[in-house]
This record gives sequence, C-alpha cells and structure tokens, in this order.
Amino acid sequence: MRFSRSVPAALAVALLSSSFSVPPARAADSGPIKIALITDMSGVYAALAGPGAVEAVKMAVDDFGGKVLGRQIIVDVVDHRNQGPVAQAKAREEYDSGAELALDMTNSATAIAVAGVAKDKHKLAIVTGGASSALTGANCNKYTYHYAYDTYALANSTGANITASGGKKWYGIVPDYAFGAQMLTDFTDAVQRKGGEFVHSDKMPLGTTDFSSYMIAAKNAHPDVLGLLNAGADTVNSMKAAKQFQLDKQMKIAVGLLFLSDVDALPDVFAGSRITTSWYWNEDAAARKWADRYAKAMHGLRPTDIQAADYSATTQWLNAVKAAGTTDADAIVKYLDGRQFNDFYAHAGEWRARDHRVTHEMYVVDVLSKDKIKEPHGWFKIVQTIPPSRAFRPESQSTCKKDW
Amino acid sequence: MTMLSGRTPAIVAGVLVLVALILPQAIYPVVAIDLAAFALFAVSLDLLFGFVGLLSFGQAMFWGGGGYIAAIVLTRTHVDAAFAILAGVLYALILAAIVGAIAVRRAGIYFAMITLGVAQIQYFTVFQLTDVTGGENGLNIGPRGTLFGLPIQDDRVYYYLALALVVLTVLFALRLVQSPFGGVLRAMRENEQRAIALGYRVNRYKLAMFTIAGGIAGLAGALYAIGNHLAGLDMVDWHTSGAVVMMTVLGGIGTIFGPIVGAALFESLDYFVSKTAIGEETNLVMGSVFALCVLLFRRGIVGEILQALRR
Repeated sequence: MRFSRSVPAALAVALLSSSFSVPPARAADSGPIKIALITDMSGVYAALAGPGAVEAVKMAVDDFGGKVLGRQIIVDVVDHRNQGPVAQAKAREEYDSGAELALDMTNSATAIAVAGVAKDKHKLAIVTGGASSALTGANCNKYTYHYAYDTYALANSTGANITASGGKKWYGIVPDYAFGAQMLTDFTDAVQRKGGEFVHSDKMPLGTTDFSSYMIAAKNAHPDVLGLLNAGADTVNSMKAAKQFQLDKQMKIAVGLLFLSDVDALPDVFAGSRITTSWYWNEDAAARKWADRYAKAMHGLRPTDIQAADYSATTQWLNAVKAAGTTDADAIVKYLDGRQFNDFYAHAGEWRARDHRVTHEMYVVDVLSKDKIKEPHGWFKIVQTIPPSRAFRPESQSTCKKDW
Repeated sequence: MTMLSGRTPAIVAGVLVLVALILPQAIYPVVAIDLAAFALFAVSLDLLFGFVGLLSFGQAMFWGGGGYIAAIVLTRTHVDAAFAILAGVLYALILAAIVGAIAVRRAGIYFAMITLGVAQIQYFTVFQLTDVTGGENGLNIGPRGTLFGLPIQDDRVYYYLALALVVLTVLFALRLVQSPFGGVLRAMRENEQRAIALGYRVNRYKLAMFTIAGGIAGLAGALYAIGNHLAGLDMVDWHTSGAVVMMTVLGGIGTIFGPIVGAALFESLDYFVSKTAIGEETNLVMGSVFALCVLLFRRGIVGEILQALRR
C-alpha cells in the first residue's frame, strides 16, 4: 500500500494558495442594536421564562418604537440548554457579533457564566431569571445587574417566616448546581437566624423526575419542614411526590421558589402554599393592563414574574441608552447606578450602586385552590408587601468586593 | 484500503483544506475552531472504529480529559499554550494506554461498555473535584496567551494555528493507516484468527492504535477547550462520545476524510438549526437528517462519493 504522494502535495498547494486576509471589524455605531435574550427554551425552566420571555422582550421593543438613537432594535434568542458552558460560548459569540445587552439567564449556572463574559467584554448583562445571590456577592462585577429576585430574598422571607412560626427542623431537597447550592446557603442562614437548623439536605441532578427515594428518606427523618429549594419543573415533580407519599400530613412543606406557570401545571398540588414572588400579574391596575396585552399574544396565558421582569428590564435599559445617548456599557452603568425608578413591575425600584442588586418591593402570596379563584390563572393572593429595604440583603452586609 | 490512494482522495483533501482556509471569513471564527477540533476528534474515533473495528463509546474521556488538563495547565501556570496542549495530549495518551490495556481484551459491546464505564468514572471525578475543575461551572480559561510564541487572543489567528496542527495530525493518521502497521490492523479486522495464526500479537496492535487514537482525541480536546476559553462538563459527557460516533458514521467510517466531513456537517447543522428552530426541534431536525443519511448513504457521505468515483 503506497501512500499517495498527491495528497500532501494537494494539501501544500492549497495551504500556500490561500491568503490570510482578515476582514475589517464592523463599525460599532451604525446598523441595528442587538439584545441577546439568553434563556431556557426547551428544558425545565421553559414555562417560566422561555417563549413567554421572548414575547415580553419583543413587546418591550415594539412599545419603545422599535428604534433607539435612530437605530433599529433587534432581539436574538439564544437557548442555553441549562448548561453554563453553552451559555458562556453563546454569550461570547453574541457580544462579539455586536449584542449590547444579554438578558434573562434563567438558571443560575448560565447567569454566572454570562456575568463572567460580560465582565471580560465590558458589555452589559441584566439577570432576571437566575436566582443565585452570588451574582451580587462573590460573582458581582461592574457590568452585571441582578434584576428580579434572588435566593437571599426568598430565604429571608419564606425561610425566616416558616421558622419563626415553629418550623425549626428543616430537611432540604436541592438541585445539584449553582442555584441549589446558593439556595441552601441562604436558607440555612435565614433559618439559623430564627433559631432553626437544617438536619439534612439531599442534592439531586437538575431535571430529576423520580423523587420517591428522596421522599422516603425525608419521611424517615421526621423534620418539621420539608424545604423544596428548587424551581420550575423540579418544584412541580418534587411537590407531586411529596403529596403522593403524604409528607404534607406529617410536616410543613416550604416551597422556596414558585412561579405562576408551576401552579398552572399542578393547581391542586400547590394550593395552600405560602411563597414569595417579585411580582403578580393582578397586583394592581398597571400590572393587570400589561398582563392583558401579554395574554392576548400568548393564547390567554398570564405572565410569570420573570417574563414581566424581562419586559421591564428591556424598557429601563432602552431608556438608559436614550438618556445616555450611547450603548457603551460604562456610560450606561454610570447612568443607572443609584438611579431610582418605578414601573408596572418594579415598585420603589433602585439600581443599587454598591453591588448592582436592583431592589424593589417583593410580595408574600398565598396560592388559592381552584374553588377560590375568581378568574383563570388568578392563583395568587397577596398577603404582605415587603419594602425593598427589608426584602433584599442590606447594603451594609454586602459581600461584593467592589473592584470597579 | 484502496479508498485512500489515487487521485480522488487528493481532490477531496484539497477541497477540504480550501474550505477550512476560508471558513473563519465566512462564519464566526470560534465556530470554525469547533469544526476543526471536532473533525480531528472524529478522525481519532475513525482510526479505532474504521480501521480496527473497535467501537469506543467513551472517546469523550480523551477529548474531555485533554481539554481539562490543557485548561488546568493554562490557568495555573500561564505558560505558552503549546505546553498546555502537550500536557493534555500526554494525559490522554497515558489514560488511553491504561484503559486500552483493559478494554482491548474484549470486543464488540463489551469493549464499548468498558470504555463507557471508565469515561463515566472520569465524568464524575471531574464533576466532584470542584476546586480543580470548577465542577458544573466548568473551568474558565482567561486570555489565551501565546502558542509557539505567537499571540493567539485573536480567534482567527488561533484558528489558523489550530488548523495547522489538525492538518498535520490528519496527515499523520493517513500515513499511519497506509503503513505496514495499518496493514496488520486491517488484516486483523478482516480475520483475527488468521492474524493470530500468522504470529501477530493482535492485542498489542489494538492497544497501540487505541493509545494513538486517545492521544489524537486529547489534542483535539485541548484545541477545542483553548478555543472556547473553557473546559466544560459537556466535554466529558457520554453524549459527546455518542455524537462523535454519529459524526463518523455520517461521513463514512474507514475513510479518514469522511469523519472530517461528518463532523463539520454535524456541528454546523447543530449550530445553524439551534439558531433557527428552537431547542427540542433541533434534536428532531438532527435526528431526521441522521436517519436519512443512514438510510440513503450506507457507507457514509464520503464513503459513497469515493465508491461512486471508483465505478
């Protein structure tokens, strides 16, 4: 078998005959302005963000007039498949190809990954869906804002309240990735502050569907509270299992994070839960007005707080671009830091300069049963409004090493 | 293997290299880097599957292992990337020698299961060693630094250097399968009993090829990780082992050029479909395309072309 001489010859000729030309970089301030919506389009979090988030952001762009600084606004949708590495590669590509803002990042692993890219590239990222409070702690940076809610706020409200009302011994069900770990840390702190403790916590892969073994273990541990420190489809599946094994007859079940879409999926199961949310579509006239428009576009579905936050964040950013007269991230940060605002989503909102936490009112809501609701998707009843100063981690306790 | 001699493969090779050279001007350069790396990865599997008849279902352990080691070396020492790549290749070679020593005693499904099992052990090790590997966040490589003394922060510059390495390695693979060593392997694949009767120690030959293929996969993985500034869990995941088998079969096993075409097709299809269709539908499109190819091109795309040209 003789190795054909023509192969290397052909390779050499082809190599030499090409020129290493590099096309000029695109001009930065002409052409359209791009927003990269990085979200979960098909996985466990698709219902609470996903296609609804796309609709919300496109609504925001249309309502703004589709143009800012005389340039057209386009929205690029990126499915991060719930993988940090995928989100990171895609964010890099989006920023390289001219995106000025990365938005949503539902799933903390992807949010932390994109925040890192934003810092590298000096471009803006606004996280709405990702929950980890590390985004304004260990992973804080100049170019990333955390907009909707975070694990600290959820723990501080739901965790602290249940412990104060007698649930001292907690048992945690935790998804095994960034969000779960931070959720557990923040809940443990909040529960300890009220004199309780976590006796045990089980970690499981994101997207687990069979929770039976965990439920049996939890039942045998006899805690006062079973803490479901997960989100989206994970919450739905673990709650279903908890009811099947009748854990609710023996202990309190605390749902760390619940979205309207989860209740839509399993109304009977979540009825009677008390949870914390950053927004509810029927909280007031302004919220309702927007939710009505959203429902028209989405076959009658009502938006989750993430989807509303996406609309709000897009609008606020476009306002900032218009006011600053540029999309340059440094100028936008300078404009936003410390600025106070109000819209249908954020009440008493502020872009906190210290750690880039966006603070606003949070709400404690009860989930109503089917026979109590007045209209479709009207699952929540607001029982308490938490002012921003008490909802989020106080500025004085911030763990963000502000290096900018 | 008359497939790889004569004028046709030379034309195929020329076309491939020309495409490779204009690629980063046509698409986002990082995607071009992915294509080149995956092409080499598929070649490594083809060396095993196409030329020895061993279907490895854990080839991602070398690809991912090489990627992670390169990333670890680069982030902790800031040496020239050549050393990081070399470390990744060495790790893959050693791992392949160890795994191969166990795996080549078996054939068929048992061989596949051993490779899959060891790959999963490595996956969970990487997943748990958070301090070293970054766990599920992956390991971030900051600036790329230099390669052979040249600055490679620019994606295009890095691509061309990586491409040079890929082309050289593919040439090495071609040379290997056309050598007497390759001849023995083919004889073994055709009739192992006869090869044994002729006095060849078949397991040593298999082990040698398994080790070389592992090293090549490690090189591809290191290039990929440095190109993406990241070694992530997906690199050591069994899905990746499966994907590279698909790429190889799609292009045509035992052709060397086939897997290159297959990998390029698979990756670019995945990239463009995921940009248009959404999520789940991506898999639907990919699955349909793959099923069609298997039905229509029994020898893979390049395999069919070579066959048609020979008639």
